[in-house]
Amino acid sequence: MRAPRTLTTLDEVDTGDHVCQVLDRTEDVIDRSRAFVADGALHGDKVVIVGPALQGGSEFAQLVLDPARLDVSLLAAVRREAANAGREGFRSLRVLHHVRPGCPAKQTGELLRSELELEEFAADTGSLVVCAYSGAGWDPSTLEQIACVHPHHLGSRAASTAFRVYRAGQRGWAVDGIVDSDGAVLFGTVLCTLLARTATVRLLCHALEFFDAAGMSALADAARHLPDRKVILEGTNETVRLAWELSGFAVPDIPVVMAP
Amino acid sequence: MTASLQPVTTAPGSGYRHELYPYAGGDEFVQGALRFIQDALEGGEAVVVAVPQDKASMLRAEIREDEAVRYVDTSRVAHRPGRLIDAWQGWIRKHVEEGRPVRGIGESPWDQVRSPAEAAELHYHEWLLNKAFAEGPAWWLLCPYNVAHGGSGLRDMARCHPEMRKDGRTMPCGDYDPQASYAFVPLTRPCDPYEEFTYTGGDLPALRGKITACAEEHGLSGRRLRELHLAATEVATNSIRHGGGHGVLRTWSEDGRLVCEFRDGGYIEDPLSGRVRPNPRQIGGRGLWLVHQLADLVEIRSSPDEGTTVRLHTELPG
Repeated sequence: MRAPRTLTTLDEVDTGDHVCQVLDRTEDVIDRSRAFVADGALHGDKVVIVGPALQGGSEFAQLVLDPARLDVSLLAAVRREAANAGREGFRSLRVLHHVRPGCPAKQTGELLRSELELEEFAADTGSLVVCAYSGAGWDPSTLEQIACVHPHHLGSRAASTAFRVYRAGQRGWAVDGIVDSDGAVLFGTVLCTLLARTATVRLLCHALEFFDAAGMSALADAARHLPDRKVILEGTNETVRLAWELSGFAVPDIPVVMAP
Repeated sequence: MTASLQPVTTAPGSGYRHELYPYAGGDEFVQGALRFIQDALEGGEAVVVAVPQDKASMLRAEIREDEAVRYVDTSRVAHRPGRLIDAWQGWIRKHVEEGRPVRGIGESPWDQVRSPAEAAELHYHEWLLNKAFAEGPAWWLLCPYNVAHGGSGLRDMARCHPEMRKDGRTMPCGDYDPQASYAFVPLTRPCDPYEEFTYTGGDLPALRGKITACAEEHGLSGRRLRELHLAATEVATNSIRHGGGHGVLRTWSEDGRLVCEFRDGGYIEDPLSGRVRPNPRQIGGRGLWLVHQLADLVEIRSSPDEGTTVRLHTELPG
């Protein structure tokens, strides 16, 4: 299973990483991109930069995927690039995603969906994805929410997050950290996003340190949010299973399975 | 005690009846309980017997368990007053669903209570039963109480029971005032030395850390510590959300128990909060329920003027 970790420099990234990088105001997008492209060349990776098209004549022009101009979804586009990278003899694909603030009302939900797709993409294909957020353009709470679906964090301003949900290979999604009243709503949103994409979500909870009643309510609400869905939690400790039963959630119309 | 002994006219099955039965010695216990059971059986009623093991054995020798008479295991709840209302709701549910009149015999293990706090909470539970079942199904609960316990116990019990059984007759209990609020025994002072920690939003992990440090000093770890963490988090979350945004945690040990006390400026209006099993579809309202289910003993004192104090007692190993 991929191990979550905090990185101090871009040199520490590895294939299959999905990194959340919060940029300082002083950090220049062109400089970051140049360093990223150089690292890609060093490791024999194909490089793609996702972001608005840079000015004509830019040294990266042919590497840029502009989400506004794509004929397919971003996920489909990077999957296509990953397939191309394999055919073209590269070690893997290396994606630098300059994430730009969008419509505030849709922002968090859309971002979570996009980031969970990229997380699955990175884990399943071994591609490296670095999501760069300019700290000046994002409010701290949004950054915290986005950070929770990245297993890897980079930079001096790495967003802190009480829990993380990340891909654990084909087995499902790992949850680590603390899901309590402070993070319950976000946890529910992440689950609803996953359940919108697949009928059964398997959560590996071996590193889940704490799960309170608010978190369990969020889980129950998410599980019955859409019809014919199911959430399987593996690796829960006996306290979590006991509290789930005591809370009255262990009933057939809440499609959640708790397993040791 | 100043019980005025007038016959009660309430017919069985016409509402919740909560009757104290003071007795002296085992023979009188058996005699009164048997008569209560036999009256029930003659009327086609079912009986649930929830008494300490030794008392159950005495009754089993006279009346064996069958469809109508059921002896229930009270070991999981007998010393945990916060769980008893739900236990009774569970014990009588089958009969209520069948539409069959039901009676209960309930006696707490008064001679085995583990602390004065537990005894006080058991008395409070008796008072709360009147509220818990006021709107519920009709049933009749007889509470035997050994007068040999002495002290203020019988008077405390009389204040919690609308009726009392004497000489085979049911009488109103003069000490019971349905309009009066419950007269709590004041909480004891924290034992020295105690640790204190002020918490607010974002401090829940630190609060659990404080509790861990104190618990580990006293050999508490693993499952029991996780359960305490969960109960403590629910109480502290209530402080942050409903108790003015912050609270004060104190921890200490006394008489083989770890005590975690939480004080905040909130007010818990419903005395039955956390004592009734939550509906799977209800939004919220599970925090105090989990607290009662996970802690060994819970003391709650709450008033609009003085705020809320919650104490969680956890028995220490060894």
